[in-house]
Amino acid sequence: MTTKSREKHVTKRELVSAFWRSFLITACFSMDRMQAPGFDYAMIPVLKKLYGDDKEALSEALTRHAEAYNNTYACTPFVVGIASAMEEEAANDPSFDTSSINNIKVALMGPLSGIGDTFFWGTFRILAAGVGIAFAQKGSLLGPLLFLLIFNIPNILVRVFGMKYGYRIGAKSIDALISGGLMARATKAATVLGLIVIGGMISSMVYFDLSWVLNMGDITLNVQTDLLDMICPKLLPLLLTFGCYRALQKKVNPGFIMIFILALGVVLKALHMI
Amino acid sequence: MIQIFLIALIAAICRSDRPFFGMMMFHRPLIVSTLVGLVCGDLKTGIIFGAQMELLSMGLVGIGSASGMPEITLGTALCTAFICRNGVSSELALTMALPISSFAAYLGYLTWTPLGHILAERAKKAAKAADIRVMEICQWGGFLTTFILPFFVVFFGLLLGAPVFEYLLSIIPSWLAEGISDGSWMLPALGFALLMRLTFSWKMAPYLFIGFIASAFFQLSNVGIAMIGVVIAALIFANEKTAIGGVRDDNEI
Repeated sequence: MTTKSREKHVTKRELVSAFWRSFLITACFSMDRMQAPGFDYAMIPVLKKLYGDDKEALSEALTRHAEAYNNTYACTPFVVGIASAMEEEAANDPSFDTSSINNIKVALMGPLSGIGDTFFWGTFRILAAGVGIAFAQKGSLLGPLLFLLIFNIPNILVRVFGMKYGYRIGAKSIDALISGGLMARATKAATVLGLIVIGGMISSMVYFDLSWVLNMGDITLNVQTDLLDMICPKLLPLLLTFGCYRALQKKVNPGFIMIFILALGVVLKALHMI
Repeated sequence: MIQIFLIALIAAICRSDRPFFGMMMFHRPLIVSTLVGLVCGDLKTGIIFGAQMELLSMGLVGIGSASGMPEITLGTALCTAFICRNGVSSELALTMALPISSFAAYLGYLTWTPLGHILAERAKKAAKAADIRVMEICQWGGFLTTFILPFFVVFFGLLLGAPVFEYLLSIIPSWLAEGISDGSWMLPALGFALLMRLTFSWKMAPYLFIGFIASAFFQLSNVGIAMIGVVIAALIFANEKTAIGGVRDDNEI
């Protein structure tokens, strides 16, 4: 009954169009469905090709992809690729269960955005910022340039290859990939890199030195250089950062922490300790 | 006047990085400030101030959805402009950047955010009706909300702002201004703490300390530490036995 010949076909043209559209994913954003309008927008060329002649099917498909969606930006082309492959199946096979398309999307959103956020926000951006800021602080143009390069090379690569790969493998091999060992190892490696760079930046980019001199009779004690630095250089930045971390874990509002730190600066200044 | 127009244009283009360019990081203060500095004829100041603002706002990234974040792009553009055009000190500009950004975000909640929501709802209705044209109009409606409106905010901010700053400069006592400035330099600690929330766990803590020790005791540059980080990460990747089940079992989020 069902013919497996591909009458409705998604060609490179639609995928490329969807690829460029995926850059606009947050142009139309709402708090309840988040990136869904953008995802739908990206799927338009594919869905038009597959269901163009059947208005009802097209409307169904478009509505399908208007369901809530949120993911790390660079990982979206991958999902678009998979969705395109699944929609192609659905268009050619009337018995295809279309609800599985959204089920896969939802199932993917969690792990993909978790991994994606770790890689892009937890690693690449921090790496780019660490290197970029270091150069920029000296006024070098390399700062902003390297910042953009270090982040965008993985960004573009993941987008392009994500889309290609997503479409090619469809829904089948996703499970194996996500829950398999490769992703876990890569995530751990990325986490390690991110943490090492953050550690370095805590020391080099948090400026917290006291200029507090105690005069006790004959002895002059510079608290920073004679005491704190002897224990551990950059001890105060380290303690401050971990203090913030603990506060955040206790659900303290970051805005309050920020005001607290600024107030700390004012108090220390007024007491001539900084 | 042309300069003001260009600065507002840059701010708006950078602001549209997230919605129209898939977040390529040119909405970040480092880039915005560099560009504004270029337009104002003081590239170096732009770069340096951009670095400072970038540090300050390290943690202010919307992970996942984008709510509640101050408009750092707009705030940085305005403050860099004030430094380059009005001779405001970078310390004062740094202090003012966050309040300005928060105010711009507040303006946003009143204007472009609800507009965006209306557009999204319209798009959903259009999807049901398979009305592709309307859907595409709504998506591009984001141009209005994320480009045009922020443009005007910066434009008017620049027109109005300078005298306000000059007045503030004269009335703030030095210990307060300097204290806030000193505090601002400590703010990256918060930024890093926010980032740590994403990947830190006590099990992985030693890696953080590798970076810290390399910098604090050996004065290794950030680039050098990054290199070490890549090497160690590569080692981990190559040698780690694959974990069975559970991608993030050793992370506490």
